[in-house]
Amino acid sequence: METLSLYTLQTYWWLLVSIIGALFVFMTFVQGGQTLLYALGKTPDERDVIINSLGRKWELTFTALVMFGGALFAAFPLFYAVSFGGAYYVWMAILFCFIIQAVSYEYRKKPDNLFGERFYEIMLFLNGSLGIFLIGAALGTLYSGGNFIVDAMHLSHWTKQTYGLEALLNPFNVAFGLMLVFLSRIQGALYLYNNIAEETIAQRALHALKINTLLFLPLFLYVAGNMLFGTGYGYDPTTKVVTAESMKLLHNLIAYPLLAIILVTGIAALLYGIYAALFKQNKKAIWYSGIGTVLTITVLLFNLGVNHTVYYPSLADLQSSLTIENSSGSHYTLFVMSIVSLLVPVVLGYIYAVWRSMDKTKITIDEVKSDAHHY
Amino acid sequence: MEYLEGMIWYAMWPVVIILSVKFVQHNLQHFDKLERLEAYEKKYGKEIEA
Repeated sequence: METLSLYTLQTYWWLLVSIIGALFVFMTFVQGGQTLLYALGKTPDERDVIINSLGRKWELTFTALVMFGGALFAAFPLFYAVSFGGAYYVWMAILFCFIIQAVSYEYRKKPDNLFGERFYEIMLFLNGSLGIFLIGAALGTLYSGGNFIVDAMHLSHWTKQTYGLEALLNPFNVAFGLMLVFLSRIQGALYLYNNIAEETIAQRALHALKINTLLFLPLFLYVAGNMLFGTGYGYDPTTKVVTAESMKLLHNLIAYPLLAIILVTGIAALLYGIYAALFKQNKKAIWYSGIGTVLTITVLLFNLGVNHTVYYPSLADLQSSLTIENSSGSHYTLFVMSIVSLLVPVVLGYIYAVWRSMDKTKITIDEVKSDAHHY
Repeated sequence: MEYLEGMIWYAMWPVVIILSVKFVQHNLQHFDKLERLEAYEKKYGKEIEA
């Protein structure tokens, strides 16, 4: 196995990063659900049951986000250095948006709560809306580029004094962020529709699903269209010189038809999930849309690491752009981590078992009221 | 032959997944068995002690 080439390991790790990123995007149904708190819960009891339903899962979303960052740090340290050090204000804003989430779940119902429940509910809304929007905008820069320069010693610096906030001036990044917000609200509505055994909340969830789907679809079309038909960046495998190429990501899908098939299957499953909930009242619709989301996002991210494509273009100096080849850890690091990664299915297996055990019975208002330790 | 090592690596994954599922299943069955034993002990343990 030590014969695994560096390029194979780099591709393998980019695939893992893409899968973890996609799992995170699916898990943002927690954030989406948080933003729907007042739309679906009209009484304090209804809001309690929603918070408790989401509260059983919020750590899993957080863990997925940390794993996404951790895998990028370990496998592609130069990206971590460039992006987290350069687009500093954006990443710090994201971090604060997620700190307030953890605090809100734990302190909302604590006795002698100084700020009141409403304060923590607003924090949860901010986490679900601003947090996801900023993560979306940051992910958008993988396609649209960042303002950085990397020198021959692998030292990087950001060329704009706004340190990442300038990404919000690019309509593509804004659309990407909003698309993720509405996708998370779709998933949130589908999750609560499945998880809570209260008919009034379920009916409101379907209404929210309809509205958010109508807002999501045009944004998705705009973002996907821009990705596939816009200008992408590739590099020469021998000289490593980066050049702009029209419709680069579409060319990648044509070069690897399997990716195109998975992408189309993913989009179809996502749309079918929404259709199954709205028109067939299928409570398990979240699983179709969830699998669809994971497949779609995996392909959209993985597409940036195949066929000699740039995954983080530099707007300041095109030749500083990052690729899986010029930004990865050493052969030794990637190889050892690859062996460790063989344990990932065991961890996922236990997560699945815990999930099933938590969701064996659907949550009700009475159950939340009878539990003295609820969120 | 260029992609052979990569193909072997990815072909290993279904085996890894099957083994992981078996391991987790076995572990959960063991856990269930222990829980049943605990319940049994709670119910009849005192009688045996007496």
